[in-house]
Amino acid sequence: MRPFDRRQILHALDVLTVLIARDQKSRYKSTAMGVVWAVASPLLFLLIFYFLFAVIMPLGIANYASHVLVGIVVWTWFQTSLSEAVTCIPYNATLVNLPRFPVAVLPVASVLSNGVTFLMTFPILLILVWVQAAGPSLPYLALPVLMLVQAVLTLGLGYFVAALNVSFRDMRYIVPILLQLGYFLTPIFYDLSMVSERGRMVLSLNPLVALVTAYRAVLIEGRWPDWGAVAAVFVFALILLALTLRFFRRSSDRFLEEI
Amino acid sequence: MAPILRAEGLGKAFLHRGRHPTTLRGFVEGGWRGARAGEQFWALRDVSFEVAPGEMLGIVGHNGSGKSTLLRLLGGVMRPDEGRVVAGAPVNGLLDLNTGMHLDLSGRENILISGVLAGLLRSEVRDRFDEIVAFAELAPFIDDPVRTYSAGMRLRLGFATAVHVRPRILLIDEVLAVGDAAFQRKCIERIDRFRAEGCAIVFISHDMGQVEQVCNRAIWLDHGEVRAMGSAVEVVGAYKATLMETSRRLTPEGPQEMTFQGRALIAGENRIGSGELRLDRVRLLGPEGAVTGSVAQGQGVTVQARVDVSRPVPSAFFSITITDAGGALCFDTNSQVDGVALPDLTGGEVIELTLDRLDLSPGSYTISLGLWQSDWSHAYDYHADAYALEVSGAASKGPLAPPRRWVIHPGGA
Repeated sequence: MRPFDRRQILHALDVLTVLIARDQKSRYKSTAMGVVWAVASPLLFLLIFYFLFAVIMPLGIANYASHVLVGIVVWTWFQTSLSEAVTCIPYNATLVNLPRFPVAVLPVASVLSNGVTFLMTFPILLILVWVQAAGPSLPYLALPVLMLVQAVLTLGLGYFVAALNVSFRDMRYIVPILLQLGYFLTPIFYDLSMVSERGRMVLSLNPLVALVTAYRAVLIEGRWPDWGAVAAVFVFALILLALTLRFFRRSSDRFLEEI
Repeated sequence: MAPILRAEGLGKAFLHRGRHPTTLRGFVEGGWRGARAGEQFWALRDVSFEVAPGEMLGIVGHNGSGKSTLLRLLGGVMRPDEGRVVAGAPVNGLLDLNTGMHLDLSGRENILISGVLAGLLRSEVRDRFDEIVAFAELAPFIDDPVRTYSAGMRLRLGFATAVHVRPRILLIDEVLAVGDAAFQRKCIERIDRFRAEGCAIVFISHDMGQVEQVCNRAIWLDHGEVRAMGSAVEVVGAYKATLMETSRRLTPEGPQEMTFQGRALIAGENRIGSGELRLDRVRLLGPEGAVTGSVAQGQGVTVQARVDVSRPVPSAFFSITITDAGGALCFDTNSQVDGVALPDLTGGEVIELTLDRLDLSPGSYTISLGLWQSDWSHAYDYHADAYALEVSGAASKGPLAPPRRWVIHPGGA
């Protein structure tokens, strides 16, 4: 196998590129308003939360619109990636059937393709933040790091649910429920400071809490994130990825038997 | 030449697990054993063979005989439970030609996708782009969305991309069963070229004629085991003989019937088949639509048969064979080869096949008709040499006697 190795890696990267390009292009070609939809859905949620928690029952969070939109945009990337990853094997059964198809790129494609959508909604987020809270500042340099950590974390979970769904078909129903739960266990429309000491202990087990908090620190407050917390999430994400990738590879021999 | 692809004692076992896939719920309720319990069966066992560069190996067998499993093991997308596959080069597949295509994207974009999925790098696809478009004969439409292409154009696009991978080991699964005759001819020519260039090919097909025609060797898989291996002609011959034997064995006792020409149809002799579907009221019609047993040379004939159903079956193929008085094959076709899908037969359907012109030499011919199970594993009803057809006209030599004209153009000075 040795002589193919370098080529295999290049090929896997090319497969990843065409899959992401296909996904993005088709999304925006099949619906004339493609890009608008990508942006409209977070804005709609923003309106709902704003109406509920800034107008009807004010929570008293400063810069509430920015606060909520950061949470929504970060969470949307995480959630859409995982919902796609969970069915990526049966959904792409014909690809899995191709000789030499690098199956391991499928969850990566889910995470990165939704990452592209995330980047497309980012300008809207920035405009809102600039108008409402703070202009761009040096800590923006932390943003790529935060995105990398988030991508690794999401991918680690993505490999896990993708492989598990092949053996246990009901994962595709369980994952959305867990994600719904995660939505409330992440301070998206509320703030960590409003949670009791005990509650915060529980929430701190959710790695997304540290990430959302870090994004907010950078974007809304214009200060550097808590690097300790981000590093902890990153280490956790790397270990998770190493374990779940192994699990995915071991399961991948059986993918075709199950789908 | 040394083999480039070798299967050594391949075996693959599956679990029979009923119709429901495993769920986490089942796992929680029944524990690991409960969720995993199931009867193990061998989809493939003890299969060994070698393919040398330039060789084409055909795999024949019924549905469920393990053909697709074998192809997946060879392609490396499934791991064998026993034995191993030794491949001296990357294995490529010509499996589903439209894999990965996206209908909203243009032909150009889809070539890039299919090419990369078939194993090329993006740069390699770009280098071969013009060649691919030329081969597909789609240059004027290449920037239109594939949604606007006809099914045939999509196949051409998929095939053109797939064959520009320049494989050294190629797996082909039923691809040649699709598309029109011109497309099939182009496919076969291209495959011949691959062979000439030293590509080793494994070819799966239901179409025995095609296996006989394009493969030099063949394997017959039966319930996951190798039943026969040898030259394609021998293996296909043995397979067909068993097909007839199986049909004969399944033939129920039945009353003797008469054809419209007064010939007896005797179950187990000139009428074999399991009988779920039966061909009833078979007629040969002349060009005016009148029942006949003879046509003038150059005229057409219509074969008409009514289908009688005693137990509905999902799908079937209709076949017709014409042989001459000496038993030599003159014509043979079936609804699958002609790309005609019979509907689910519920009884009372009338199947008509019109041969617009029968340019056979005057003489006596016999016609055999059959309705077959859709994996060709046995006949529902097969009437062997049951119908006589007389072609009248001035005697001539050879099997063919097309209507003809002579014109002598005067020499010009």
